[in-house]
Amino acid sequence: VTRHAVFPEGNHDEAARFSFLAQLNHCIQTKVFPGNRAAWEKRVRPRFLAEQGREPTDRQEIAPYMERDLHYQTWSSLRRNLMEMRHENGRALVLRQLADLNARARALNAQSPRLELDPELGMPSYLTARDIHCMPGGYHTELQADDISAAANYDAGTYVVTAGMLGPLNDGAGRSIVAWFREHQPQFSPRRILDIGCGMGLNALPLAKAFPQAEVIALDAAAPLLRYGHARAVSLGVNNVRFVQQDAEQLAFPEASFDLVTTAMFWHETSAEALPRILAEVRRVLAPAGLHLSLEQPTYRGMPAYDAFIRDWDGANNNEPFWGALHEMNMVDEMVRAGFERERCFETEFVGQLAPELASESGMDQGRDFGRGGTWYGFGAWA
Amino acid sequence: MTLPPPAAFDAAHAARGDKPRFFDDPAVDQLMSLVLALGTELAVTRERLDTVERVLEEAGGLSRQAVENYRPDAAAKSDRARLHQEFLRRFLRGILQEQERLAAADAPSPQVP
Repeated sequence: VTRHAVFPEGNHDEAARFSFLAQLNHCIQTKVFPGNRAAWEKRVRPRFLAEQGREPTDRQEIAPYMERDLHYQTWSSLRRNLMEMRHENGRALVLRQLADLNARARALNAQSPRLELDPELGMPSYLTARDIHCMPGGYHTELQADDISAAANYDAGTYVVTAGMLGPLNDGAGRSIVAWFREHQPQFSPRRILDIGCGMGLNALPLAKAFPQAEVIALDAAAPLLRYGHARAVSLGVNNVRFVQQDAEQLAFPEASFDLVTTAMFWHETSAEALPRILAEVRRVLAPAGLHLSLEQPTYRGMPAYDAFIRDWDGANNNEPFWGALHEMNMVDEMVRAGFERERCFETEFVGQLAPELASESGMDQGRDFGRGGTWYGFGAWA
Repeated sequence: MTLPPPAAFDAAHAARGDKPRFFDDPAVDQLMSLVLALGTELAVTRERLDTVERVLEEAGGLSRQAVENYRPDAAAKSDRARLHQEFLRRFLRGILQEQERLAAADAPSPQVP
């Protein structure tokens, strides 16, 4: 992990706990996870065939059968507990030094023209109804003035669940988007970029570095993420990103004001009500010949029922309520409904930018985090 | 060395949302979280002991601050990763053995209820 000025340092035992949890995660994913498919093939599917006289047609039919399987139950319990323990350790580490962390961020953020917070902004209900991926307090809860605790905990523990696959700055998704431009649009040179649902700017910074002539607006609804993201960007020497607190459903930007609008693993944390409104806003703020480009988890469309079932675990079990519904949506249809022309919409793939040096340091191979390692699903549209 | 003051906020605070139950008997869900916490703390203690041993070896003496400040080099990190993986193999023995039996089975076997 690459340190920056607001990265929370763990003491000996906190670091050891994270290190062990990362190993436990790796073990669950590579050793225990494959047993689910064996359980499905060897005993659950035969039972389904015997009782129903046919193959299952969708993931929903598989669920009640797999949920009775002891191996699936055990794997689920291991994984859920891992998520909870990751946040417990991260929060313990952050909360005991919160005053100091907040002071460090405050010093880096003071009077910056590149941090625009709106204390009056109401939080979208998709952020407050549940704490997404089991993170107590979600992204938005503030425990002290100028709080960054949610972001600090998230940043500190991310490598536990990604096994370092996102790289020392946890920015693998953003670097994948940059690699996509090099491969597919090497001439594309945006002047104004909007990254929606930027979180702590993990993916906005690689874009800012790849397009140094551009101004990047990193937008999120949750202030702790933006404070942390801005302080982190300053500390890492990236100066062309402005962190802005707005609700993506009602952007305060004029029409046609961006050449590029990106999102990375954003849509699955929104809602069925918010998604069409945000997409319409993306269309509205894009300039002519501007590009919308989104990186997401793989779509379930065209996926075998078992694969869709096992991928859907996060929906109910890792507090990702919109996960399943989003992955079944046809995003091209959604973009057309939002005002894009169908022939200017596309689906694509992002190649994961792995960090072998980090993987070998932790003694981990480059196994897939069932889909999080190798490639990501993408979709987009030209205005 | 004195312990730091207790945190003002509870790190173990639960996330808002439904808590899934995976096993038929909720006691098993409870037991899993106990066992995993115990296993993790055992691994943390094992790593602390490893630090103590290495610090003692390097310095010929022991200071608690030296343990706290110890930063493993690449070789030590790699040793520790192996240590954890070996521990995990023992820790998950029952589950992994059952999985091996399942994968090796030619005919579907009924699940024990």
